[in-house]
Amino acid sequence: MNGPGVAAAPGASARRLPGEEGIWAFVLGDMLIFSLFFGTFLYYRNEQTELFLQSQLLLNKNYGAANTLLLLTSSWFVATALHMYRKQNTEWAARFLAAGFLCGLGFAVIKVTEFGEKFRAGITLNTNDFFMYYFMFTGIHFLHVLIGLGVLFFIRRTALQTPDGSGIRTLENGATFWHMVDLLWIVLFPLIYLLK
Amino acid sequence: MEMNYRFQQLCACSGLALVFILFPLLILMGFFPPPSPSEGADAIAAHYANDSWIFLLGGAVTIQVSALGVIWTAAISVQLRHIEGNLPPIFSLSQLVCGVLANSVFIFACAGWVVCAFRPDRAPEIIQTLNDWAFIIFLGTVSPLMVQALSIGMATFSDESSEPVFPRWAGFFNCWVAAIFLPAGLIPFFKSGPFAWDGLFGLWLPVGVFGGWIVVMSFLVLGAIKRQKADAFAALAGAK
Repeated sequence: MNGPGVAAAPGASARRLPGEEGIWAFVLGDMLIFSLFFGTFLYYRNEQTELFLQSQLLLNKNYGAANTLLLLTSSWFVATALHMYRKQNTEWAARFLAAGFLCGLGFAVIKVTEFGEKFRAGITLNTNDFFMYYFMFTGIHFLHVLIGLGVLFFIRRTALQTPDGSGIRTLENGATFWHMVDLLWIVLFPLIYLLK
Repeated sequence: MEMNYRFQQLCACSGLALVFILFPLLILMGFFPPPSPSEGADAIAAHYANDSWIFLLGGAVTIQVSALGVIWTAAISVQLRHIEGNLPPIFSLSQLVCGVLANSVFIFACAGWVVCAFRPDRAPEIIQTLNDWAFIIFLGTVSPLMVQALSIGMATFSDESSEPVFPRWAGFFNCWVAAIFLPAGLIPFFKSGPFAWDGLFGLWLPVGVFGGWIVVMSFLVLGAIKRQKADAFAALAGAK
């Protein structure tokens, strides 16, 4: 995917932007949309504070907290994997990426369990405004997690195929996307589950 | 040869023409903001009864200009074909068929508005039904546009030439555009709020980004055609 010569010699990479400009523009664009989501949520929350607070009590904070922990751990695994890859330790890079992938998968399992519990309790998208935003925002974020899992799978393969370090740009692009998924959840979790 | 490149440029510009015809018509028809999905049948019918000729004109013209969108799609596919070279033309084909499908969806939606205005003295419930139908098709059918944008994005990423047809940021831009279109696919679940067909994520953002996307892609295609034309004429002069 990347042209030759992008894997700069060790030491020459001082203050280089990780990944390429394009992925940062994409991340900023995506975060712009989520900022609109957050703003919309706060605006309507302000209009129906009581309803939002009561509905929030029906959420399972443990699921949210566990998912926060999983994504943070996952991000750490991925960051460590890139560190290993830069040291040309491909084997451990692949292991850490697999660990990051498994944490992300754990997030997905918990999320599906949580949605399932809500549906069985008769709570859906149309229950009230709070649950509309809850399902829409965490649902769209969940879609990002699924895409991110595909990305982690892809960069793990890239790492294994390029033990010489030439795949660093691709790995950095993928890791940047995954960190964004993590960051968005770190805002979503307190906003929806905790805000009093 | 001159003729071929001229027509390519014309096709690329037709995207710009589409935006400059479509958006004023939609504004004229009062679709920014559109009749809310929570309005009753009588209120919806009143929109069409009061301004029936505007809907007839707007709808009829919009149906005809959809051809502009199709030839614009063709101009992009020619560029994706450049990227593919001798490889199987999967990106150019998927971009083309999705673009054509997106434009046919457009025709069916506009037909709904024209039919509403054609006999505005019909029973209000029938008008409301057609109005629902038109808006849900117009804004809710997002997958053709999403796959069209993703095809352009993936083709851009696959470009290994030293002088790529589109800059790499265009690949990320197209992925982002596809992501913006996504929430509009959920309008059938909402009658009010930001995800409904008159809301921020159901209407304003996807439609605004749709217009911007066409303008950006038109200029990128025009730039690519200019380079290819210069190369082709230089090669011709070199051969002589």
